[in-house]
Amino acid sequence: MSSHTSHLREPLVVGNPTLAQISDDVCAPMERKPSGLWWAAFSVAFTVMIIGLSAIGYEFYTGIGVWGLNKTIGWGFDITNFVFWVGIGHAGTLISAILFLFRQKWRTSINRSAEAMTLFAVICAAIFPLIHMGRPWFGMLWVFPYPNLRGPLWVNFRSPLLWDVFAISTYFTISAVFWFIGLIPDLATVRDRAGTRIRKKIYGILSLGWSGSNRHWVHYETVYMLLAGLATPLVLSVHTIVSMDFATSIMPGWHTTIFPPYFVAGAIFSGFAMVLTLLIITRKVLNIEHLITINHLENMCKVIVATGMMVGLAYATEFLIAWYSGSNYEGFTFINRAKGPYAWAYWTMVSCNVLSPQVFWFKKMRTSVPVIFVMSLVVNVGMWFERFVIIVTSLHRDYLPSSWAMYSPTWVEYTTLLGTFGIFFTAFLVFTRVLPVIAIGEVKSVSQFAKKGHAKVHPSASASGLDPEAMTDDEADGALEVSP
Amino acid sequence: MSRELKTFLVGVFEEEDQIIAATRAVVGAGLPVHDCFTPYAVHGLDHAQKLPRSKLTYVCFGGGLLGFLTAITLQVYTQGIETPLLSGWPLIIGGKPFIPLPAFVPVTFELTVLFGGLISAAGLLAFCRLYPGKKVPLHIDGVTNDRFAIALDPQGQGWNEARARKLLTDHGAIEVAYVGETA
Amino acid sequence: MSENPLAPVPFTAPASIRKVALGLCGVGALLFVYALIAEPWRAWSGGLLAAYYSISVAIGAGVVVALMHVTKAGWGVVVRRVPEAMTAWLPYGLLALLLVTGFGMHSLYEWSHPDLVAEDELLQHKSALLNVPFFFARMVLILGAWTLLTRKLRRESIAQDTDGDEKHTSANLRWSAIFLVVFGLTMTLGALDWLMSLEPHWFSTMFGVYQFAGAHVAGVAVATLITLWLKQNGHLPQVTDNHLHDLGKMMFAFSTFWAYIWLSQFLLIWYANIPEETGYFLIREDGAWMALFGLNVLVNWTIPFFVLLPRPNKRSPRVLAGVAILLLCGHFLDVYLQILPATAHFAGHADPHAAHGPFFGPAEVGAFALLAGAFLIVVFRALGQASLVPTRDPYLGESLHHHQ
Repeated sequence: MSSHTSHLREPLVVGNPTLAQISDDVCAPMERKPSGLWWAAFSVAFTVMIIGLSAIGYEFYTGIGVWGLNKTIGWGFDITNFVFWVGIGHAGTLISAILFLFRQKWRTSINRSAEAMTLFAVICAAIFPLIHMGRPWFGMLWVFPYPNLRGPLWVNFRSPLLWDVFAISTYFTISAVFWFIGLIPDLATVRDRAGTRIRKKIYGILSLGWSGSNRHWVHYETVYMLLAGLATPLVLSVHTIVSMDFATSIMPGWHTTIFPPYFVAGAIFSGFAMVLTLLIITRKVLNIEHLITINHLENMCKVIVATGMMVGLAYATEFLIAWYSGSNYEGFTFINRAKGPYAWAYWTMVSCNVLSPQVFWFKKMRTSVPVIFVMSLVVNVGMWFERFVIIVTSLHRDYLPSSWAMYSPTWVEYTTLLGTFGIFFTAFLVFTRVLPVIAIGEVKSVSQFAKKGHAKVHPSASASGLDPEAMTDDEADGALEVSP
Repeated sequence: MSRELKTFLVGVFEEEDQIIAATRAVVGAGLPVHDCFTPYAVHGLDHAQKLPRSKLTYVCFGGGLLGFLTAITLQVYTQGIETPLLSGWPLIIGGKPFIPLPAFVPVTFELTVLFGGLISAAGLLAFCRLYPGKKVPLHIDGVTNDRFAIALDPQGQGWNEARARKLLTDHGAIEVAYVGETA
Repeated sequence: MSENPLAPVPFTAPASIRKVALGLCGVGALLFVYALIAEPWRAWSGGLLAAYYSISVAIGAGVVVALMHVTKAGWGVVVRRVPEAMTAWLPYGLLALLLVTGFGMHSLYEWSHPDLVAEDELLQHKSALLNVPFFFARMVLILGAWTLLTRKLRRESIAQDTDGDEKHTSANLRWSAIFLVVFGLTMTLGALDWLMSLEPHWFSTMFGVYQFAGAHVAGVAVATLITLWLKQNGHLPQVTDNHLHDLGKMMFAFSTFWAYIWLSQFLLIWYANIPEETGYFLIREDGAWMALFGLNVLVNWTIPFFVLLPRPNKRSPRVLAGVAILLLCGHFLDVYLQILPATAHFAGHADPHAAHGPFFGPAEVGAFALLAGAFLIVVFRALGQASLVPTRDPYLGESLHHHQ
């Protein structure tokens, strides 16, 4: 921020803390003993995780028949949950990469935890296609193209499911690298303030000897920008490819050209809701409400209403074109969604995703933490149902009425879904204990403190080099201007 | 690691405007700057220090290109080439040609991004010589927290201690002292 | 910083621009009349191409303005008057489209022939939407809404020059959000009406998004060209390399977005290979059209992408102007490929020898030159109606001192 910054911009950090205070505030949760609340939350999440893993173990032992899938409905909870979790992850990359390219500085307080969330969500997502293989210990290696003795028989690069393998693994890798690169300077901060030897050692190794050298910062900023530039199309491609799992088929309700951007918008929509759910709790519990301010929450609500509108537009377009196409099958699928046996799921989806986010047109709603919290849950329910509706309602009544069926998920499927929430929250809770949940360096760079002339400059300074008259215009701006 | 440990004159500041101004002044006066150390990327400091733009963009482009070529080669070879020596396994699937370019786009894109990203990140570590367990060579208190420091090299060309000290103090240095490398 | 950091920047379009524009109009009108006599269906196709093209450029600019407001983009304040002025074309675009589709209706749209509808079950099914009165009602409604909303945005912005009141900034934020919602809904419908219904059996849910992507690139490209012209002729010295860099990035990003949407639509239809969808691409991959089909991607994405990748190119006025012109040619080709194969096919219905494309001649150039000249006159007049820089915009300081 500089003297040219418009006064309309609200400060990104409330209370004008010093740089040292920012370090202290962010690092405090890592350096004190976990609170009772944390232990309570952790035990619940951990237990749920164990229950979920047990359900998966039972499924491995018994076979995939313990799920409620049948001949008509070959994809049910598994792929619904997969798409749901991948979608959740997208908000993290959006915040860290796309908002970075758009110079939305408010991202600095939330990008770290959102990226962590991305990684955990992708892990949860990856579980489902893996266990859907039935015997992943055989299948999971066959999806990678490596020289082999099977003929050599290679993977089929024309299959969207294989594209998924590449998309998800690239997405996870690049997100993890991006996240870690972002962490390096902060890990150095933690290292340099570590109280115990063992902490110093661990964070010393992790921070790779980062010294804060400006020569390094130049390379660092370039790579950060490059990774943001790569991650932006990457995040679009991931949900695009996920949507192609459906859209390359010839199934009515699945095969429709708007799927790629519509899935991406939906992913960002649900991801922001999950970021809100997590951060509303985190900022309260960790006492960082001056760093993740109500403005941050409000901005995220705006993204939610914008992407919610896009999703709504896609629903409307699909309906319009289903009618316009004149195809009986398309028409039937959509009427069946709205009026058939799964109408309750369809209308849950519409009311959660299109109708209820409209409250965010009002500033009063966007700035009320309880409203935002409830809405964030509502949106996630809605987006889960969106995937359920797309998958199950399109499948359950196919071309042959004699094979029409209903889908009743079993306790194993419910428990597995629950278990992924356990994994997600366990990982997130551990994250809040061992890593800085806010990008310390980036928040410092947008805070006002170090730029307002708090320290005294010696009066003779201008005579010894910083003479604006003697500089070219560009240099003078460079000297005064420090907008990141 | 038998590098000779050097000692630098280090000026420590509390504000980013000060370090930019001080660096500009010191560079302008022809004093040898070893490096600046800051808790976050200070914009404008690279200009002040007269650092060149990072070459990592080229590394990234090269990485992306490598990924692109890898993906094309892999897909065309495994899906479309059948010769006695080098053989993939061409199969007709979905009535598509053996080398259906549109269907190769997704994987090609992913590998381009994967290689570009990983090689850029590796390039960062290589350019900055960062690795697990590396010790910080010049330890200055607080530069990862709330201090901005500039280190001048007394053995460099154009060294003038009195002038250096004066410039640093004039620009608001709260501390000017010699600090030695420890690793 | 509520004081005025900058005096108003007045502008009057020089006579040379008027001359060029009037020349374009004159030549274009002659060619169009010639084509109308020689081959009416081509004249009307060319007319639809030109009218839709001009509208897409103007509404693309409108979306740029609205996005700047909703994202509170500080950098773009000094260039914002250019896209604002471009939206002044919309009512004229409506007039052009009304005339072209009004008089050329039967050459363009199969569904406007009652005898053809009578023997086609699908067209009967669609006639609730695709019928002549409703078609025009929608057209007036859609373009009317765009005109009113973009005019509102421009008026609020210009009003701020005199009173400096920040309420205009918040009003524009609100109206931009409303505009974007209205635009999203109506663009889908407009794209369906004006272009997709040229082949009334074909359908694609992506089509509206695809048209939006093309319009956005074209809007940014024209805005960049006008900005460059103003800067090179000394009218807009406030625009620096840093602003050009951002315009370059926008062209880069939206050209890539266009390619993404293009590929998604093509890939899905190609992959599923359902007869009712694939027909659209089959005509366009047929014979001589095929070369243009490939060229479309090359010109609209591949070349601009690699040219704009290096940083210095995004900051060079010459390279930027070249890329903008290339993208505008690309947009022409893109719209051409949506209209001509369809109308040629339809014309072949009556005359089997007429449908061997591609066609390029007076018919395709005439209407385009005519409307390009008119566009220049309208937009440069609009530019002269207010200061070239919104001098009392609260974000102006950020824009004047914008750095990468």
